[in-house]
Amino acid sequence: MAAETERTMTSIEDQPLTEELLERLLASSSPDQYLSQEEPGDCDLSEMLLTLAREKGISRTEAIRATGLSAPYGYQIFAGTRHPNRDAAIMMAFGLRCNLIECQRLLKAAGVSELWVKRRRDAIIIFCVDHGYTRERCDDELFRLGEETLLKVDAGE
Amino acid sequence: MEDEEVFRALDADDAYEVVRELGRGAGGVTQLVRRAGDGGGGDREGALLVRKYLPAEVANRDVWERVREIDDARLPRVREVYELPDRLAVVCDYVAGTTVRERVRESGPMGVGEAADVAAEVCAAAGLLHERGLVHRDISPGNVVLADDGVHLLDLGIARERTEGASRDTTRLGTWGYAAPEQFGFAQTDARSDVYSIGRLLGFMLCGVEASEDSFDAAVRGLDDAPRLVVERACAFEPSARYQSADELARALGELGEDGGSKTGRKRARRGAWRRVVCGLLALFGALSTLLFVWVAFRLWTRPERPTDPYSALLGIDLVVFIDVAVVLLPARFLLRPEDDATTGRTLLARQGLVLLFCLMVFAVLAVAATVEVG
Repeated sequence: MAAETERTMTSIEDQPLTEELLERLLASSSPDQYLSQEEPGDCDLSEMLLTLAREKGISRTEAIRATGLSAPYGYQIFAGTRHPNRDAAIMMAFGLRCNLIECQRLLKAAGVSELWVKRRRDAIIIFCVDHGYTRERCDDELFRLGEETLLKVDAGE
Repeated sequence: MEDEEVFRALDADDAYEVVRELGRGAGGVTQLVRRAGDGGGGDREGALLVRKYLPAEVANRDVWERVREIDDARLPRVREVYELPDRLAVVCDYVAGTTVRERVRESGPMGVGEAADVAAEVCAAAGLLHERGLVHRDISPGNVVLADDGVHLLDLGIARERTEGASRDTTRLGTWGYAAPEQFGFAQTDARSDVYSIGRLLGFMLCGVEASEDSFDAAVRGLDDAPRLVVERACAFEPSARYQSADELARALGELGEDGGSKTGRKRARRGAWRRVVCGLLALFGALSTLLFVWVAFRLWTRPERPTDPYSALLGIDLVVFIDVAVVLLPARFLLRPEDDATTGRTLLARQGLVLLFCLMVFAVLAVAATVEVG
């Protein structure tokens, strides 16, 4: 799959977890020491989406189709010209076949709250992500358990 | 856009892999790309291409589809055009070469003949667009490439079709210093706007001064009459005062190029003749000196009257080598390659110095040997 830009990133999975980075920061003698070693950088959603797609060998078309989002909206999210709401970001995670860690990072990069196991709806979604369900199957589970589905009748924009 | 249209465009977009980004600006993004894997264009697999993303507000698909119909090496050969929700993507063949700007910065102003030839080729390319009702609107030294196969006019990113009855363009842009005044909103652009830009381009090639600089007009006034008049007419503020078409400008450039078209051309012709005369005289001097010294050396070697005569013969050969190389061959090579004026002047002196040093060393050895012989 060809990416729009050549920006390279280490694999999303290989990047240290936030908790690990927090431990290193708190163990540092000064902010400068941490920053000089870790280079945290900025987390760009568009870049992350393209990296995930490239790593998994999924084209943008395949990913957007799998989310159920409208194509122009999905394109804009990939291009970084539109910011997804929480459900759209979760749908993107399904479209890119993210595991739970990747999904949580994607949500953080999108500037929305992560999935929280104590929230009933989130718990169902966590289960579906962890088991590799498609977005459609996740919505079936949400509907069956009386929760709001990810894909809304008005096409998720 | 409908979903399926977007998906088709995305698939087309993902068929290319980016080699590197060539440029980014208000007019869009330009990338060097190649087809990813077996993209269906087997004969072009691996071939470098240029992909331009043009913002939807300045892009015009119809223009690019018309350019695609043109089969001329001077204009971008368009391979694919597809529309994304927020921009137009155009994929063209990659042209390897030097832009006029790079060429002038590296080598200085061009001669009248060369500049006229380049400008005439640009006129021909622009003329092909004008025949189809298109105006380039961004002819500048950065958009004209000198490649092995000739001159190429690139970057039709803001090309427009002329709309009859329109009083002004709806988008302006263009390169400051090269864009015609009407591109700043006074009137609609037409072929004469490109004529203006080609005139500014010609001025840049002849003077080596960017048309955006304050000193450009003064530099143009310092040109010889013939090229100056062509530049001034092409760059008249009022479109009706300019050459009315790219063809008309090309004819004027043709006369300029043939003439040497100017005092500069005649000066160069006279200088060339003078150089050949001097080279002829040097060659004659070298030939006579060689004959004389070789004859004397032969006499001294075969019929020596003194013990030092053989050494004198060798000294004569040493002197002949110095005359032939340092006095004849090196200066003749310098004179017959005027394009190297800037550098071989110093190189000539350096090489002559080396030859002299060598001959002096031989002289010293022979002098010592002769002294020992006499002693």
